[in-house]
Amino acid sequence: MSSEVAIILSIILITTSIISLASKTISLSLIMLFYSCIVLNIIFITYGAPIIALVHLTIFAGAVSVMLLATIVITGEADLRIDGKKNYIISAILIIIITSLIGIYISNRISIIENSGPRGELLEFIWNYRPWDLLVMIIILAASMVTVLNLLSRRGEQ
Amino acid sequence: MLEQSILFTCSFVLIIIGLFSIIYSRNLIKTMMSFQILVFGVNLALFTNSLGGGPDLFANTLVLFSILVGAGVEAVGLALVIQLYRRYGSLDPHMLRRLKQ
Repeated sequence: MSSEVAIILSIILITTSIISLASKTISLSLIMLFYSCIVLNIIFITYGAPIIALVHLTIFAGAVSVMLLATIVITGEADLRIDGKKNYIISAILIIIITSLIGIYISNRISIIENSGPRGELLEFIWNYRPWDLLVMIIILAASMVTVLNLLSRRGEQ
Repeated sequence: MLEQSILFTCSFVLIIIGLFSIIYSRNLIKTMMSFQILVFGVNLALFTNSLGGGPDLFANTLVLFSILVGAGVEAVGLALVIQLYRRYGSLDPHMLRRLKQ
């Protein structure tokens, strides 16, 4: 894979992140954050990690974006003015065209991922105890879910 | 090797942007977005370690773990933001500090 792809993807990722954080309109920030997440997933797929890209896309572009949107709607911070609509559409079209071109370029050049097994003692240890790692991940997600439910319950407000 | 250094520089820039935005943000939702950018940078840095012929499985495991921990922290942070808004009616950290006094 040539280094031009890495440069272009890095520039797009940094640009969308800066626009997301520097924008005063919070809806535009959310859209740009979504785009930066997609560009990061393209980087993962380009360099041979489709499973990580799938998990990343599901969690960050799916769940976390919806949570952010729900928070924006609940707190009433969304700025739904009509003035910025043209900017949203232009930026969306531009980023879709750029990412589509990169995707076409990548799909022509992507190589078949080698199904290589674990190498070395540390990797064999991690691979053998993989179910425990998954169990820890499930415990972390369950703990965060219980914490969120406790925080959002209205019992402690009085 | 060149791609590795480019992506590592990109991840470093993302981490720096996220940190500065967390420090200077005036909105708690923006702070959580900055944290997400920071997590993106960390994930990219962890993934970049596997590119130069290194151990790919180890890096992939670390990235998966980092993604899940990041999502959990983000969920708890957003719940805290909603709770703070219900209690104080504002999302400005400076205003919240003044209201607390």
